[in-house]
Formats: sequence, structure tokens, C-alpha cells
Amino acid sequence: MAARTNSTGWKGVGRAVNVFRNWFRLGRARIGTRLTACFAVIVLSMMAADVVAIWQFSQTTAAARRLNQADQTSLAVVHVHLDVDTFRDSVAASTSTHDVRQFATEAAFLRRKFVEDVAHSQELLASSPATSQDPIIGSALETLRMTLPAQLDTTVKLASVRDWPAVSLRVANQIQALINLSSLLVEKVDRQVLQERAQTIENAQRARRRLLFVLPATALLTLLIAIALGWYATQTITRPLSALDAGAQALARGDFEHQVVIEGEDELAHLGWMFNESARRLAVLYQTLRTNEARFRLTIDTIPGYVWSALPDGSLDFINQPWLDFAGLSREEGLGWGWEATVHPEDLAGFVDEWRAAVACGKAMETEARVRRADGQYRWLLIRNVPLRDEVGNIIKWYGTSTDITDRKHAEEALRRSEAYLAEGQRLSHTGSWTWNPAGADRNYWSEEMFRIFGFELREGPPPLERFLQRIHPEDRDRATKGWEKTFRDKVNIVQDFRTVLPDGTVRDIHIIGHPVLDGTGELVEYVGTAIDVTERKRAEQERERLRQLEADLAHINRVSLLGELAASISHELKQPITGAITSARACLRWLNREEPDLERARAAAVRIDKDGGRAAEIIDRLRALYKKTPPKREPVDVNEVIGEMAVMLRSEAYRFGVSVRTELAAGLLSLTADRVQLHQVLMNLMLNAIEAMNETGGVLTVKSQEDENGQVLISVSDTGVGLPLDKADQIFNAFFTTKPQGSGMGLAISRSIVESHGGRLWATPNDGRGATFQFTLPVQAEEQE
Amino acid sequence: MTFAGTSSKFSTESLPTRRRQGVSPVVRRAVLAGIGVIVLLAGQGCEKPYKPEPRVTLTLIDEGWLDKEFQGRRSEELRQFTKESGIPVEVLPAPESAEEIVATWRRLLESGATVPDVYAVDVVWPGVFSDNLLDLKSYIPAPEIAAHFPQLIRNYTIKGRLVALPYAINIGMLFYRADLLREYGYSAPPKTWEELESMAARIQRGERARGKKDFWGFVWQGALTETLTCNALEWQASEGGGTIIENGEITVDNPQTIRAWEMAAHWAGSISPPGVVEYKAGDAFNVWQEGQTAFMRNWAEAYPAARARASRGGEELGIAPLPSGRAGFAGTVGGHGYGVSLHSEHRREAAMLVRFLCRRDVQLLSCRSTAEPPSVPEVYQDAQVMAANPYFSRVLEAFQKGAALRPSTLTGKAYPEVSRAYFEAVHEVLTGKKSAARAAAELQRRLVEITGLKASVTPGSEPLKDKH
Repeated sequence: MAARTNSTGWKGVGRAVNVFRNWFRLGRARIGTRLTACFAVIVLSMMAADVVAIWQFSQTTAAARRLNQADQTSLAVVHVHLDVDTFRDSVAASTSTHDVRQFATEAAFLRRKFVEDVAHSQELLASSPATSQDPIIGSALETLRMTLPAQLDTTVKLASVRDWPAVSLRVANQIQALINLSSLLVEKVDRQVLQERAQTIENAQRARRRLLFVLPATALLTLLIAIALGWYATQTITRPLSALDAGAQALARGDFEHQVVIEGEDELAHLGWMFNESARRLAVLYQTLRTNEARFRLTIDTIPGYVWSALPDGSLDFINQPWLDFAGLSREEGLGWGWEATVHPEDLAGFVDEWRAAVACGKAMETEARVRRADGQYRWLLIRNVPLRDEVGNIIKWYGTSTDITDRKHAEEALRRSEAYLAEGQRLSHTGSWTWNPAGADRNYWSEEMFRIFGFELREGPPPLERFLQRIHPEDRDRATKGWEKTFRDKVNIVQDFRTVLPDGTVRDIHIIGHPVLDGTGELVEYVGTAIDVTERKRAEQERERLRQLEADLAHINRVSLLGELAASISHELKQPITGAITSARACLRWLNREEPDLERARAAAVRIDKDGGRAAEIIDRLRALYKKTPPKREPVDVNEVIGEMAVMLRSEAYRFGVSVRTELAAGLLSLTADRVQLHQVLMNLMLNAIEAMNETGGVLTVKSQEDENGQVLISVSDTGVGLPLDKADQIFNAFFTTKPQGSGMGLAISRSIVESHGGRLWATPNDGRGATFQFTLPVQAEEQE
Repeated sequence: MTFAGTSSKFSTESLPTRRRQGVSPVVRRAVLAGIGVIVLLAGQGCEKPYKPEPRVTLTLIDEGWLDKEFQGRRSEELRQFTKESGIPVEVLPAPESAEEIVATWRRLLESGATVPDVYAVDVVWPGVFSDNLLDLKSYIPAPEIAAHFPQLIRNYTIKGRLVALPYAINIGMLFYRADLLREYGYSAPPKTWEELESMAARIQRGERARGKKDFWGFVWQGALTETLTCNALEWQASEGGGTIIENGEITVDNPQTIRAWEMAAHWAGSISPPGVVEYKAGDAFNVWQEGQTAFMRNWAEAYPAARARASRGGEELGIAPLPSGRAGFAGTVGGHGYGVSLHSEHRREAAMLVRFLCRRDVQLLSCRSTAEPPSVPEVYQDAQVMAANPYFSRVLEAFQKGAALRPSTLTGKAYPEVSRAYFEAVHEVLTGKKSAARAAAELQRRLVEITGLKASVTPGSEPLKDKH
């Protein structure tokens, strides 16, 4: 074979091999495609074998057909030759008979026959293989085809003009040439037919021989191809399958890391890929599971709580690390019933009973027990156990937690105590605390004292509004209600007083203070406040008022008595301006009564009258004020003026006892807010005391006003009298203490009370030399002293 | 993990295993080889038995196939060519008359036949075949082309393409029996048609009296063929009726032509056999060969054949230019050359053959014995040639002085139609079916129709010789 195949043949085979090699890579294709391809190849190879067999068979039949055709061609050409021959004979015969008509008929017949024969020959020649043809054959036939009819025509024409010699000559020359040509044609065709026949026979024999070899070879090869492809197809399927099987086994062992090696792109490769993907996902899943478990365990061990689980019989099968750390046990010591050792002996029996009871009846339990900590200290634990049930309700496991509540217990204790103190405080101070919630009475809070104050039962809780209103004194009820409504509407603080009437009829005064609690949007959440039972305080206030009245009366009495003491001096003092006025009036009259009334002098006398009269009126006014029993009235007061007035009023009295009055008044003192009458009274008391101290000896009474170092006004009254009894310096301000034979002993006490009510201080100091100094301070901004 | 180990082991092992499980290269190769064997074995069925690459064999088709003389000369030349080039040449048979030849050539060329390679191309055919003939200019050196008569080269050059190379010139000549003329007291061939008529009549009478009942004075070609055109053109032109188309005008319907045709019509049945109107070249020649005529109008190329016969029968052949009419004498120019088919598979070799046949030295060699008049003027100057072919001088004389060209170049592809119209008209006159005047008038109209040219008002009456 190789020897007979040239280099281009080998190249072609090489290409074919490449094509087939690519084709065999169908292993990468889908199994269906692959099987179909294999099947197709087998069918194709069988078809090819059939084609080859048919082809070879057709070769032999074609050879026979060719042989037949060659014979036919030969025969046709002989016919043509015979036509030419007949033509020659016919022409020759006509030259002797000179029968034009017969010749013309013959010629026409001959012409037709000739044309048919030539056409037949040409057809046969055209259908035989052109390569093996002698070019002369076709050309000669064509020439004959062209020439003979022309010869016929020419001859017939010559005959028709009866030029028989010309006809004869034509037979001898031109027609003979045609004969020669057709002979040549016949000869050539015969030679060709012979050649072709020989070759055809040879070909047929060769084809037959070949057929004997080709048919079995083709069958065998087809069989081989079928076997090879079948083996190939089986192999390409079973191999990946066994790999998959191995992979599945590995997976069954739990080897998630196992990967099937994938080749190709068929369904099995896809399956392998899916398998790998599944295994990979399983591995990831498994890893995630383990991570989660670890994380969960870590969580359980990390959470600040004591967690365990127990089997349905109550024995622990898991304890978390914090619990073990707390109890100072190892896991082995704690599991089962080992934990019992840590429970306080007093609590153990109860707890275990409770636990067993819970396990027995399958109910969740919650209890408190003392458990020993690793440092030996017992701690209170809140212990909870709950069962986990399966779908039919059987208990699978118990889960439990416990929390250290020792601190909470302590805190609760402290709170309880603090609440008790508070309640006691409230009880003592008659102060109740409350909240009022606009959403409803049930949300209100009343402290214990509240119930006591309003006479409600503690266990009934804060009363509804209607019941509460019933407890308010009917006279105060409307006012109180309106006050609340307005307050709650305006969300402002509430300060209110009303009386409550308890069921036993006692009336009590209540003082309420409350402020609103607002949320972020300014909406009212509730009111928080207190209610104070001010009945006692009010009673005390009334008492104090009464005392003050008494005091005022006393002071009045003091003043009146002082004025009584001063009556002589005052009348003297009064008499002086009145006398002056009378004198001036007389003088005035005198001046007016003159013949020539001296109006100038009369006017001057009238001015003096007016001035004296005014002075007398002033004294009387002041006296009247002192006499009058008026409630204290604070007003701006010029201290120096007050001192001056008093100095004027007591001047006569002082003179009476040989006492000279001196005033040393500091200028620019700030005016005070004080009760002028009370201030007169204090000064009068002090000055009269001073005059009295010097009534036997005479002396100097000095009144000073000045500003002390604290910015207060300091007024001092000094005498040069007997001085203070040394041992009784403090008693002189007590009521009813007097050193004077006719003194009431009230003067200094009242004075001190007045000064102190002005926020000042009154004290006495002995002078360096003779006498004593009484001085008092008054704050520039006198404070209200209730 | 122990699994990791196993799995890696599995993967490393499984790769080669997996590779083995595919079709192994051995099996694959075996399958492929088997398929290859079958394909090759089967392929043998259609394979032909081994043949060596066939040598180039050229085929030639020639108009002179029926002429034995011509065939002899041609085969000598071809043998020479085969000797020179190593290429054998086969001559294919060809029909007799020009019409059949043209039809056959056309059929072959226009059907794209690869055989024959070389065609004989008559001077009137280049226009007809030019589309299917090779331009020889690129195959033949210019000096060899220039060696031929320039008018022939012009004739064969269609649209700038040299479609054939001239081989021989040809011209209508008067063949006469010199021995008979002498016998009847004529010392020279006839100079005019009248002389021809009287001489022919006299000799015809004389010979018939001697018992040669079928003897005729003058034979020519009156059958419905191209040759009739040539004959009639000679009559018309010599009488001054023009050469059918002259100066771009149709010159048929004129008194000279009519007179000439009437003259010829008168010959049939008088000095010429009545059947002359159906004579082809072969028939006229047959009569001549039989020694049954005193005069024959024929192509110069017939001379070698005519001479052979004459020398055999102890007769004497004379050749002369055709007799003159009132405008002088006229001989229709013929001749042929060789062209190469565009469809030839061996163009180069075929051109070689054409070049060989038309080569000066080949022509010279051929013409050293009796031959047809060559197309290379130089050959005529060879003494040996002129000695072997004394008639060449008469041919040359006729060619130079009275050459009448058919309007083939002018009409190109339409020429066969023009010619057919012309010879049919003439034949009708000869056979007495129409009067010459009527036929001329009708022909003129017909030719105008075919060519699109206008008719000549003044018929050309110039003597032919003045044109050269």
C-alpha cells in the first residue's frame, strides 16, 4: 500500500488522521452525543462498506455496459459507412439508368437514413469517454455529416440538369473521397473499440479480483470499528462512574474533602462536578456547624450566668464554665448529683425535694437557695429549670440557669429599710407623697401616710376621685376642684390648701404641693407631690398670732405708760408753742389794733403763730400716733429725723431732771424701712431709761447715729448715770425685770422684741466712765420678721 | 486528616488511568489505517490503468483535405515540423465547399471545442472567426509577420489582433489547354471575354466533331457556393461594375454588372455545360481532369493538381490571368492562412505550428517543387522556386494588376450573408429565373438592408489596375 501511495496521499491521510483524532475527542462531548456519534460512525462505516461493495459491483457492470456501447458505436459507424457506400452505388446506378426521379427518391431516403445514422453514431460517441477517443473520429464523422448531404444535393442537382458526366466524375473523385473517409472512420472506430474492449475486459477482471478482497476486508474493518467504538464508549462511561462511586464511598466515610477528578464535559463530568460541589458544600456546612457549636459552647461558657442541662432523671449532663468557676468544681465533680455538695445544708433538703418533684411532674421550677461559692461564701441563687419536650410531649432534657441574687437581696433589704424610714418620717411629719396620673386612678400612687391623712384604708389603694372629693370640706371643695383643673390644664406647679373632713368628723388642714412631670413632647405624664397635714402648725400659728397681739398690746401699754410718764414734759412741750402762739397772736392783735396797724409786724406775728401752731400740731400728732393702737406699718424712715423728733419730745423731761440731750447724727445714712412708731417707742424707752438713770445726778444724754462695719445703721443712747448692775447685765432685757422703783420692767424687753422684729440687735454695754450705753442696729433693708 | 491523603492519592493515580481509558493511539491509528485502506482500495475502482502523460498532439483542420496533391505537400511539411519540434500533428478531415467548411469551423469554434488546435482561415473568414482565434502577435516575431504581403496581414488583422498568419495567396486564373489552342491556331490565351467565347466555341465545335461529345469550351463554378461569388465578382469587376462594395457603397445595380451577369448566363449551355450552374470547384476540375474542356476558371492553387493530370495525359496546361472586360481583367483574391483556436489546450505549440508553416524558409523549401503561391513575396524572387513553378509569374501578375477583393473585411461577420445573397442572386440570373437587371436591383436593396450601407449612385467604372 505504502509503496503505491505517493507523498500527497500520505498528507491526505495525515489530515484525515487529524480530523479523526479531533473527532475522537468527542470524549469531551455529552454521553448522548458520544453514543450517537459512535452509533453513527458504525452505521456510516457499514454504509461505506455497502457503498464500496455496490461501487465495485457497478464497476463490473459498467465495464460490460461500456463494451456493449463500444460495439454499438462500431455498428453505428458501420451503418454510416454503408450509407456512404449505398450512396456511391446509387449514384453509380443512376449514371447508367439516367433515371433522375428514382435517383432523387433514393437520395432523399438515403439522406434521411444517413442523417439518422450519423446522429446515432455521434450520440454514442459523445457518451463514450472522450479521453480515449481519437480526435479524427469525431471530426471525420462531423465532416461526413456536413459533406454527404451536400454531395447528395450537388449530385442530385447535377443529375437534375442531366449532366451525367459530371455526376460520374463526382462518383469517381469526390464521392470516392467520402468512401475513403468513412472507411477511415470505420477503421479508427474499430481500432478504438478493440482497444476499449481489451481494456474493459481487463478492468472487469481486476474489479472482480478486487471485489473478492475488498468485501471481506470491509466487513472485517467495520466489525473492528464497531468493537473499538463500543469499547471506547463503555470505557468513557464506566471510568467516571467508578470514580463517582469511590467519591460516594469517601463521602459515606465522612471525608468531605474528597474530590472526584473530572474530565470531559459530558453528563458524568457534570455529575462529578455536582458531586464535588456537594462535597465541598457539605464540608463547609460541617465546618460551619462545628464553628457554630464551638461558638455556642463559648457563648454558654462566657455568658455571665450559670447554665446547665440535665437528663430527664434530673442528673446533670452539662454544666457551663461560669458555674464551675463559681462553685470551684471540676466538670466531673459537678455532673450527675455532684452539685449537691455546694448547696447550703439548710436549703439542700428543700431544694432537692423541689427538684425531684419538678422532674417527677415535668413542671418548670423556680426557687432560691444558698450555694457555696469557691471562696466558701454562701450566695443566694435564683434557680430556674425548664423541661424540653419532644413533639409527643416526652421530656428530653431539662435546662437550667441560676443567677446570683445575693446583692439584689441586700439591696431589697436596704430599700425596704429606707422605705420604712421614709414612711416613719412621713408619719412623723404628717407628710404624704402621691402621684396623680391623668390616665386613671389605678396608676396613682399614695404613700402610707396619705391614707392616714385622708382616712382611707391602705389596702384599698388610692381612692377614686369621687371618694376623695367627699373627704374635702364642703366649703373648700369647689375651690379645690377648680384649682386642680386649672393647674392640670396649665401643667404648672400646684400649691393648695384645703380642709378635709375625716369620717369621725375631725377637720384637718391640708397643704398640697405638686409639680408636673412632662415627657419629651411636653405632654403631662403625671403629677408628683406631697400632702402635708398642717392642722398642728396652723394651730401654732394662731397661738403665735395671739401672742403677738398680746405683745402689741403690751407695747401699747408700754407706750401709753411712757406717755403717761411724760405727760408733764409733753404738756410743757405743748404749752411752749401754744404759749408762743398766744403771745404772737396778742402781738398780732396789738399790731393790728393800732391806729395805724403795723401789718408788717402783724404778718410776722401771724407767721410765728402758724409756726408754733404747726409745731404743737406735730407734737400732738406724734402723741396721738403713740397713743393710738395701730398695727405695725413699715415705711421708709429717716433715722436722724426720728432721733430728732424724740430728742425734741423728751427735751422737757430731760431738763426736768437736769439732763442735757445731745445728738450726734451721722449724715448720709441710708433710709430704713421700719415702723416709725415702734422706732419712737424704742428710742423713748432707751432715752427715758437714760434720763431716769441720771434723774438724781443730772448728766448728759447722748444719742448717736452711725453706720457700723456691717453697713447697718447703729444707733446708741449713752448716759452718764448710775450705770448697769454688773451682775444683772443680761437680765435687764427680761420682762418684768426692773431696777427702778416704779418701772414696769417691760420697756427693754419690748424694745428688744421690736428691734429683733426689724432684724436688728439690741444690747447694752457699760461706759468706760460713768453710765451705760444702749445701742441697737437696724439692717438697711429690714427683713420681715414674722 | 487521613482522607486528604487518600484523596490526593486518588487524584494523582486517576489521571493517567483516566487517560488510558480513552481510545488508545494504537487502536485509533489502526482504525484510521483500516479506513484509509478501504478508501484506497475502493478508489482503485475508478482509477484508470496508468497511462504516461500523453505527448502533445496537435490537430489541424484544413480546407484542402480532399485535394490529394495538397495533402501530400502538407504531410511533408508536417513531417518536417514533427522532426523539428517533436510534436506530431494530425490532420482532421474537412468538408468540400466553403459553406460547409465555414459552418463546420464555426460550429467547432463557437462550441469551444478544444480540438482542432489549428484552423485554416480563408481570406474571407477572419471577420467570421476572429472572436475565437488567438492573437498571434505575441507568439510570432514581428519580422516574420512583416515578411508576408502587407495587404494579407491587414486582411487578417481584426481590431488590432492578428487572428491568422497567411500561408498562401490565391487568385482566380484562367486555365487553358495550350495544346488545343495551338491546334486551333491560337498562339495566346484569350485577352477578353469575347475572345474566350469565340475560342471556346470554336474548339468546342472542333472537339465534338472529333467525337468528344461531352467536350465543352469553358467550365467554371456556377453552383450555389462562395466560388460563384468569386466568379461573378470577376465578371462584374472586369466589366467595371465594381467590387460589390466600393468606397463604402453598394455597387451591384449598375449596367456593367448586369451586362457581365447576362454574359455569363449566356455561357451556360453554349460554351459551358448546362450543368455548370450546379458545378462546384470539384466538378469543374473533374471536367478538366477528364480533358473535356478547353478553358477553366479556377484558383491558382489548383495549378499543381491540374498540372499533374496534364502531364499524365500528354496534355499541355496553360495558365493566364482571366480575360478582361471593358474595365480590364479581375481575379478574385483568395488564399488562406492559419489561425489558432482560443480554446486550444496547446496554444503555444499550435502557434509554433502556424509559425512553422508560414515561415519564409519553409515556404521556400515547399516551393522548390510545384506548390501553391506562397504568401511571402520574397519567395517569388528565388530562381529555383520560379523554375519549379513558372506559373507564379502569371499569378503574381494577376495578383498585382487585377486583384479583386471580396468585401469580407468590411462586412466582417456579415460577410457570409452578403456573399450568400450575392451568389443566390447571380444563380437566379444564371438559371434564368430572374432577369439580371431585376436580380441586381433586388440584390442591391438586400445588401443595403444587410450592411446598412447606401447604394452607389454612380457605379464604379474605374479600371481595376489603377487601384494598385
